[in-house]
Amino acid sequence: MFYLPEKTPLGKLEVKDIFEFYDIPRLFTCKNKTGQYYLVLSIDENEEELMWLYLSISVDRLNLLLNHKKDLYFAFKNPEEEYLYKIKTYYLQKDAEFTYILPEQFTDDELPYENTYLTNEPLKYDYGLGAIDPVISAHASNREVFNLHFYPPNNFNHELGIREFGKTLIIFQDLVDAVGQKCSGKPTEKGLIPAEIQQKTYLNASQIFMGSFGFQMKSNYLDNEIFDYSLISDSLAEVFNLFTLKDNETDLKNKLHDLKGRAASKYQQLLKELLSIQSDLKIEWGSPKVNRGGEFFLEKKVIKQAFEIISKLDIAEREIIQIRGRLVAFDTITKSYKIVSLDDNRHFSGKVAEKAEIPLPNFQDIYSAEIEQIIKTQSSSGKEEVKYELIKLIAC
Amino acid sequence: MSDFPDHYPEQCPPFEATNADGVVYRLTKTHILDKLDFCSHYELRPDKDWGDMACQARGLSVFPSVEACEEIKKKIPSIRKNNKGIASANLNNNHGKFANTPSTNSKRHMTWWVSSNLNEPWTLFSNVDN
Repeated sequence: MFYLPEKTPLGKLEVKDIFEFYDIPRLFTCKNKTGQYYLVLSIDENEEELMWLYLSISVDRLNLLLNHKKDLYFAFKNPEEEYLYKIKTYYLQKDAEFTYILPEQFTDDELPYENTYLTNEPLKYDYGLGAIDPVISAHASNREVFNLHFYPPNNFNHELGIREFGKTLIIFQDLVDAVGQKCSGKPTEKGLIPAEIQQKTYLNASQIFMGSFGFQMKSNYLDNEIFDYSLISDSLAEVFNLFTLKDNETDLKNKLHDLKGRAASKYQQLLKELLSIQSDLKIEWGSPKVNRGGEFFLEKKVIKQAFEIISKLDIAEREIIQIRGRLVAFDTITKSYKIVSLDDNRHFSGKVAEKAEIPLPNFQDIYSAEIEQIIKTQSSSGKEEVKYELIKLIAC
Repeated sequence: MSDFPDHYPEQCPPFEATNADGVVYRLTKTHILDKLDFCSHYELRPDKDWGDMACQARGLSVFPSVEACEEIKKKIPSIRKNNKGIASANLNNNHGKFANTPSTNSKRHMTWWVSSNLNEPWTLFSNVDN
């Protein structure tokens, strides 16, 4: 093929997707026999010859371009291998000419303009899910990458129970959110974590892999900070540190005190879910920042020990719930109440908080109520106890 | 109806091609329209073995809008450097056939196989101010 070089170090190439075409392919992907992808750009031509840039590209970086998270200018200006190949092919039978070239050797006019992207028309080819190695994946995708390896003791050691695994992932995200809130400098022990923080600490499930059961998460947030660390990076750094404290009682207590109640209770819940999987755990963290990341192994017995240590701590998770409802019971002597939500018919009952501002109740009225949900984890059994304290009651 | 030159391979234009119909845009080297702007790669190099591009090499790239022309110029340095003009024409079924290429999913680029009845396709086109 006149536009694909032959007999070069790039190997034997096969076109995968053509993104731009004008009389001939102008922007396309190709792959060699060993699986290396190239993004190819037509940079000049005359009647006899065609000049191309061949950019060696990983699946992670390609996915970044396909999802329009980065533009074409970025891709060619920041090659993962730090250099590109400039290749001259000929319409007539003549061997291609091949040179290495650094991105700084181009003028901007020799590259795609900024804010131009790969087309989002359906692809012919499936490029796969990206690198499993978290360091490679993080650098290629500009995202934080966290791999969890489980070693479940069942007959199918590359599989994991959905119930335990699902809960583990949700609690892991909750922990990252809670630690992220602490890292943002605005920690609270109760109430919803602000959406702006949750957006920055949001994790995506990106792939499963052998190992024995390997699972990869990537930050949804793209790290565009040159000097600073992103919130998700800071949060994962703290979470990774928590794991590395293993079952060291003093360090765990100090760290959890530092992280405040919400993060501590989430870590306790995570350890509890990990215990239910009955597995050792290997953690691998890759970050776009070169001085961040790492690898750590936690034995099952260490997870159990850490859980037992944290369970002895007084950890309660608090959250404020606001409802509109009708009061169905109220006892001024025992200071207890029962209210039914008008939105979802949910019943709340419990004690009235000591400092609560409660008017003389009228059962005909509709009230706007503020209730504090307190989840306490019993230190002996690990069982959760949920209480609902009435804080405020205002007639609508 | 369109006829095509004898040198066209079998099934070229392809089955999915439809009769030319509507306004199309083609990039031109300069603002002076030239025969060379409307020569297919095959016509420029008839002795070359075009392999699996044999049919595509006999067609001309056209776009459905000026915006599509501008977009490819922003992305592709060779196009930007060597094509300073954009020309348009309102084509009908006497002028040949179209198909979305390189795949049927491509909505912004078409290949136009010029009817053999049309000897001077550039005369149908006029410059677009851009």
